[in-house]
Amino acid sequence: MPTEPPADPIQTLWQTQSKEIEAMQLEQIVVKARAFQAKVRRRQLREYVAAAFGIVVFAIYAYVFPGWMIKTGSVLCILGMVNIVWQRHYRTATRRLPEAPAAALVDFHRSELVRHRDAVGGSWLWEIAPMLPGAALILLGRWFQVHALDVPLAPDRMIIVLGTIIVALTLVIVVLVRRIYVYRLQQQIDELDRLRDAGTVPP
Amino acid sequence: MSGKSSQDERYVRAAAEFGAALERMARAYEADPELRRDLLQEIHIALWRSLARFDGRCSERTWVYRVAHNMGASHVRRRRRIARQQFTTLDDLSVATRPSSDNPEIQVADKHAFARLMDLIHALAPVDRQVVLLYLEGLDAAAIGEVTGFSPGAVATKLHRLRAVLAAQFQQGGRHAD
Repeated sequence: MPTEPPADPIQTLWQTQSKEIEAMQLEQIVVKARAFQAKVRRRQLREYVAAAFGIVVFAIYAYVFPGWMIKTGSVLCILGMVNIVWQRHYRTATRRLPEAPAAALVDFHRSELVRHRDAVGGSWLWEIAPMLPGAALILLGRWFQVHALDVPLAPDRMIIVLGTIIVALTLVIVVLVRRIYVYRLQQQIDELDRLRDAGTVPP
Repeated sequence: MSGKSSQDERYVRAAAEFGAALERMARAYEADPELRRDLLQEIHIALWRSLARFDGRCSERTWVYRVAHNMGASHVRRRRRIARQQFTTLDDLSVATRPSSDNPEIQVADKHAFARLMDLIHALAPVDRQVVLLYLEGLDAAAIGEVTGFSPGAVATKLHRLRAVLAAQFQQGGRHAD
């Protein structure tokens, strides 16, 4: 592959900048690679511990609160969390080390944008949807079977309705923002396709 | 020669030949010195790992540049999500001449010229940044096309625009032959 001599002063300016970082030895590379892998494992472990904490909380809900709706809802939330953890493990298992395929840059860009688009566009399905049936049953259980102590029925139900509306609105906003983001990612993908396929120089 | 020693030897050779270029690349993808050091380490680790799969279908230099730029672009994407940074493109940059002295060599040699060049590079979207960096490393249009995967027409268009931008920003004439 030919390299042009830096006849352009800007190229000279660029190529003659001073070096500031000491070169890494091969042994250091191998050690760093192993250390990074250990760091990723620790991060995954923290996610599992956080999920385990959530599961314990819902298990306490199922044990403490009366009424089959809240109990069943809590069990469904536990199953939902297990599903989320499994999905996350499955989706991140292939990216344990900093790895960049030696594909042409435009192909790598495109695959990353597509991966990101699909993750953002579809993640609410596997991150939020598994929790919805359980959360809905818990709310129904609060409405029909369990009421807050020392609070009149009407204000208690008002709190449940307001809470449900706030959660629903938040979900709608999150989904809309993600759809806009996905649209913008798709525009970038289309632009890359145009650059890759363009065969002529504009005047 | 075993696969492992072949990988190690390739890495040592590539690091010796392209180490300085990789550091310049890291500087172009990350302004913060500490994060830059981390990025450079990640690039070297990725390069060492990738060379286990080197199949000779492209030159080692193309391979090295691809791996390094892909790591740099991934880093920029991660940082952009955190900092919510907006990028520009070569097409958005002004080609209006900056007010300056009449001597082009003085302009390029100016102590602020390098800082201005870095500002320009850091503002660019990853795709345009890669083309600019490969040009600054001295690769010709065909070589840039091989590394990036862009069509020759797209590379020529971007280089034409880049030279106009550089000429305007630094008041010096770039070469016009690919």
